Amino acid sequence: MHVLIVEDEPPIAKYLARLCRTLLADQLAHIELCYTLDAAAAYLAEYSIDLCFLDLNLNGRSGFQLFSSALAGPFHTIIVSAHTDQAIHAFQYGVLDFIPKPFDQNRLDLALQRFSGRVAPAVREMKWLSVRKAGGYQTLALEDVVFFRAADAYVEAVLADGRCELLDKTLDRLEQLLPDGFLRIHRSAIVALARVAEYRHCGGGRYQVTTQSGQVLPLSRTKYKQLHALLCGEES
Amino acid sequence: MRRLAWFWLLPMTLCLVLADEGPAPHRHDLAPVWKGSLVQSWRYLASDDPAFADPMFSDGDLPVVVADGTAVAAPEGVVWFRRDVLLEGTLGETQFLGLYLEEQPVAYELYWNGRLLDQNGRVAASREEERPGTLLGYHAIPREASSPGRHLLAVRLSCHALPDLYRLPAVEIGTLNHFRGRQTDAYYLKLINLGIWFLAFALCVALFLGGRRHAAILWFTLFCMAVMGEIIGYLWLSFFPHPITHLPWKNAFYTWLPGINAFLLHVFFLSNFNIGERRRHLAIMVAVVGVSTGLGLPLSPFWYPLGLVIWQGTQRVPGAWPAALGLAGITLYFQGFGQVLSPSYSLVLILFLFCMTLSMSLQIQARERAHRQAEMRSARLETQLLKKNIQPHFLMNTLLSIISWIEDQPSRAIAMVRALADEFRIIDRISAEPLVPLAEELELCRAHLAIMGGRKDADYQLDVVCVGEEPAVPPLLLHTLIENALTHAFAPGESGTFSLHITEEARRCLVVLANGGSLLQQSDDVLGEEGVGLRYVRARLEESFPGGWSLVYGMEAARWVVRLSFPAGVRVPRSD
Repeated sequence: MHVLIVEDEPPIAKYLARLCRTLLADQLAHIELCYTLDAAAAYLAEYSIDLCFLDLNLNGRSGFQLFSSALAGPFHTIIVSAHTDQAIHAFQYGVLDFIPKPFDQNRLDLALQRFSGRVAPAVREMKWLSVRKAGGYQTLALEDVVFFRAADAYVEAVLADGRCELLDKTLDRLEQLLPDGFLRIHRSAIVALARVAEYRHCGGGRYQVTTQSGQVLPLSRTKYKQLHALLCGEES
Repeated sequence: MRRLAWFWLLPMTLCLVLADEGPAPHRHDLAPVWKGSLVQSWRYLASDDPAFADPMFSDGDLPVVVADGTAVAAPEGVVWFRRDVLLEGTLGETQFLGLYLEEQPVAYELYWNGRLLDQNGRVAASREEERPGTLLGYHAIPREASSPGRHLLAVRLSCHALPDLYRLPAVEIGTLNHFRGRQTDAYYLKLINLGIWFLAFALCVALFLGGRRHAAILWFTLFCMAVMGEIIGYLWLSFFPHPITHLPWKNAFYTWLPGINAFLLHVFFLSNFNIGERRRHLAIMVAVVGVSTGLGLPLSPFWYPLGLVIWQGTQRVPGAWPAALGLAGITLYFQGFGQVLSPSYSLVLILFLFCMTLSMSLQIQARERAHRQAEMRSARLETQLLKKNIQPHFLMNTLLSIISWIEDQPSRAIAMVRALADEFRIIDRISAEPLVPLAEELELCRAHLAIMGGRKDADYQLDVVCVGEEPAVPPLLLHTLIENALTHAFAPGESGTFSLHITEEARRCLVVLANGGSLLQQSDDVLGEEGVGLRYVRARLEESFPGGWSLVYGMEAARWVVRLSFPAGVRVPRSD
């Protein structure tokens, strides 16, 4: 596991690194400390990481500047900040967790368990998606997404207007962040429940979902029941 | 409030314009009954010959002189003037004929039909023998000598003691009742005006003692006192006998006192409207009034303050236009336009005092409002000050750094805890003060640098050079500037030094705070942004040195430099 810590106060960064080493032990392949946004951006451009701990205020500059690039990346981001008033904002942009300062080993352990998927995220308020574009990043509203589809190493977000956007994140990591209105219906697809027009058993152990815009998605047998329960529950 | 004031001003102005003659109406029947009652042209004898008073004396070949008020050379010895006076009509039973000599010489004798009627002082050929008369020039003519027809009036006079004030005599003839009535009218009018000024004076004293003791009210009180002094002086000089040799003093009194009054009124306006550069304004005022009065120019000394007040009106200063209206009335009155505006000085005076009171009231209202706003601003700044340092992210980050140092290097954690305690203790002490001693502010800065040094794993120093007396500064002024620079200038782990240089120049305190730092080149734009910190600094400077401070900052030779300037010698207010 490759971890990046972006924090402008060396004692805090070192403390966080020490705790990570203790908690992750053998799982940790490398941990990198960056004290400035520029250094972090340069590191991200060169290396691929799994988890980024990000402070929101770095030498007077907002850590949100790194957000668009960090959140568009394939890794998870956990905010470590004393600015707890920014937590909701951060969750809306798709951070995995928000650790308020000062924290201890237990709180960091919880965050790492959320990262590994052993514990569900406390807040799933994601409203925006960050997408890498030529020359920068673009923010998309999550409510415009009809479904996500795995496409090789990437994820394809299909929007209500028919556009497709490529996300640099695995479907598993995306699933951890998405709010309740989305359901993983197949290992290769996540659908927005509000956009489902029809779901049915096609015979031969095959199931499928048809969206309101007419796209047909595969539906696994185990997820069929969950989808049925969720949609019937909504209808009732 | 203002609309109400204008509502009162309008009818008052109308009253003023429409008002009739001011003197008491029961005197109207006392107009002179004699035609050609002012005697100005004379036969003149340049030597002392008692026969000149005799009606039989032939004066046909003597020169005729006309007393038109212009100065002429005083006679060397005793001189005579005479002329015939034609009396017409009949005196009432209770009436007496009288003479009034204008432009009195030092001593004179009046002859009526060759007989000595009255004398004032002793007329003599030399100054040693001459005895000055008094300043009251009324003389009665016996009833038996007041029959209609031709009479001879002769004046014998000398003017050795006051040769510069010598004028040709002018004699007014009328009934004594008329003269006395005129005197009584003037006397009571002056008393009425004195009463009006006294009411204004008493009101101002009450306002001053009962209010916030605004200096402007005190100046107006002094102005009222000066005008009352002028009236009392006039009454004393005009209605009590004085040696005629006091005439130069009396003239000086009438010449210079309006100037002094205008000066006091000018100071009042400067104070009331809080006008800057007062010395310059006063110097110009003294020069203008001094020159115009010294040269005897027919210019009211109130023109200059009137200009000042109109200028303030154009600047939309509260209370300036009512003051301009009242002052314009009284200036025009004294300039000789009185009869056009209103014949009654008392009404002009009432309008003037009403306008001045209104002006003061509007100014006090504006100042009270500004004072309340300043108090609220101070309270906001105090809250801001506290919030700046007990804001969660400062405290939480510091605590987390301390936790880290406890595990890594406990002695450093202890140092940080102590510095944090110091910073909070100092802030608690100074948070409610508008100004604090420099030493206390520096102690706070050093505590903050110690905390931040712990957080950034660096060593920050503050070098101070203070030439002269240490100034008082608003709390957290330097602290905020240092905090601002610290955030943007130094990379984590990078140590640095702040240099503070304080000097005094031309009664101003100059503070220069400079620092280097590896992040400066990329943070230049961020440092210059008017964030919360710089806004706080500006608000504090304005609170303590309203309109008298400056703040400039920028990169100088690869260093971030902040230059502050504010008045020197401002002390820390003593807290009760």
